[in-house]
Amino acid sequence: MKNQGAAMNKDSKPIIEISNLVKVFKQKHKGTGVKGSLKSLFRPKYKEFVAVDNISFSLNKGEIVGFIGPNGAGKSTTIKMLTGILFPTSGSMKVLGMVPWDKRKKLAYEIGSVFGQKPQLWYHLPAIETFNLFSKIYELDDKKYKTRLNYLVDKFELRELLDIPVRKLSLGQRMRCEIVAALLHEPKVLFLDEPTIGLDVVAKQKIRELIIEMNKKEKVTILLTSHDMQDIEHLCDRIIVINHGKVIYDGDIKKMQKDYLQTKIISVKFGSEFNSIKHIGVKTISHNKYSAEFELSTKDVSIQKFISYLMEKYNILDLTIKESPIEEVITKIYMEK
Amino acid sequence: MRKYLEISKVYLRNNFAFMGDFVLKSLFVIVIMFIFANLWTVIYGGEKIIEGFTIQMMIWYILMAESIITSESPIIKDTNKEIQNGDVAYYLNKPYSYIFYNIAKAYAHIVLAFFITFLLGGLVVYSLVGGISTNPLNIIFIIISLFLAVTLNMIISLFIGMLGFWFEDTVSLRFIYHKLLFTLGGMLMPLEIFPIWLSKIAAVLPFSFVAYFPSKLFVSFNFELFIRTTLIQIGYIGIFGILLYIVYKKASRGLNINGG
Repeated sequence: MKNQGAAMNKDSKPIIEISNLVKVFKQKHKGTGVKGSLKSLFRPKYKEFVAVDNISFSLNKGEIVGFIGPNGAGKSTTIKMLTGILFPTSGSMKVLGMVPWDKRKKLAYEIGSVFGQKPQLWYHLPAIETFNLFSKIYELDDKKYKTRLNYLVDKFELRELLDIPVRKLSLGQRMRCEIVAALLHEPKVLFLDEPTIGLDVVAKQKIRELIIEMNKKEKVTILLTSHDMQDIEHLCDRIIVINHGKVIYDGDIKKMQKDYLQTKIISVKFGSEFNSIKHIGVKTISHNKYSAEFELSTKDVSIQKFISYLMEKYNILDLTIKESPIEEVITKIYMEK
Repeated sequence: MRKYLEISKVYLRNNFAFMGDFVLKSLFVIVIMFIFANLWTVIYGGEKIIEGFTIQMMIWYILMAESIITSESPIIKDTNKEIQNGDVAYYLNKPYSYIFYNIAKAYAHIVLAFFITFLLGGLVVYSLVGGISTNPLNIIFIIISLFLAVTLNMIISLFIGMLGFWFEDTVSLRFIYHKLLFTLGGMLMPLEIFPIWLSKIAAVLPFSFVAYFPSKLFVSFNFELFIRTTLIQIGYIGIFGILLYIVYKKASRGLNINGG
């Protein structure tokens, strides 16, 4: 279980509640060429664009929920409404019992955010300067702040990096600092937008471990958006998929894989030389002399039947069955809807 | 209040990384003041006083007006950029006012830039035309008027920057505003040099309360003028402050953030 907090608090009141939320933007349409520009100057034409189309969902305390969708799906608009920056066209929303756009400032004390592509650290100063500034902005008690800072600095292994100007830190180090900045005021809700973008495998893993640890320890509710499906798989049990402003899936990540893909990947190592096979519902993805990878459609053939067939024909040394990669599931969902 | 003071301090420290850039920009004032000093020396010819200004008063006046205008923070450009690229969203999710956040940064910028510009320019002016006598007791009043002048400039600039929520770009508005400060504001020359009808108009417009009046008080202090100037400066700050508040409130309700 990645985030046990959610299971423990299933009965408690949701931390985030969204009901029939709609956001329509008016976009100015310019004609082409000088004539078009002049025309739009005197008689501007607007086109309505539905960024968020009647979505509803809720998040419980301690949940880490993956909020995914292709570019322009409505993720950022939803997060901006959740933080009180944008006003919705209709619908209702509550975060920690507050209506975000009415209590933007008050809510800001209770939430934290990390935007992978928009750093909040002061670029030419050491990270400690931003931390100290945030302690003032969030009006933290000096003594409590020092204790919290020490705890986070140790946890995120930043002791050696505190006095180095941010511009001289690696991307991974910088992102660790960004997360600490967002956690200083002990937020109850954390919005993570692409927190591992551009990081190498090791740095990504480190960030993921730290996020899980903070979630378990502090029961902070996390809404994570990422195009990296590994992030989603590692961190979330639940996933909300949004496309064209509509929620098209909200549920268990494993169930989604099962529901949406009726294919399995079977990798086999042979003790004898492998020749090509022909079997209903099975496609050979790759093979060499002593190994092969097959894609099996569970609609057309049972796993058991295919394995029995292989065992009859070959001496099998090793066999693994995998779900199709989550990227494939997501692509399928995006394409379908 | 404490958080905004901290923002100013951090902004100042962050900008020390650009100290070279600051000094280089301020070096420009050396060239400008050298040209102005020579130009006005020729204009004065044998004259001792033109429109109530001695040559020393005229050059120190221009230095003060130049320092006020050139040390302004890039607040219009910055807010416009933040609105254009959608970064404004990332400032709005913190527990502070976006307006006061920008004001805190602008004060920090102005204090540093004004100090460097006036100091470097002052050295040039002193070496070319000598000093002017000022009663040390007046300095506190001059500082008050200067503070109000840069605040007025900042509020108008922020107001123009916020118009970026409606206009795609505020470059043209910024250009017009600066040219008005240069001319009707009295940065290039005191209003006394203008034709009477024009100087009368300029003297009631807000631009002259940014440059002309505080610079005039610096070279020729008059307590009555100080009171009148500060009252009108406060009035204009109030008017543009209300306009800024209305524009910001309206903009933040109908905020249409670029980039999602």
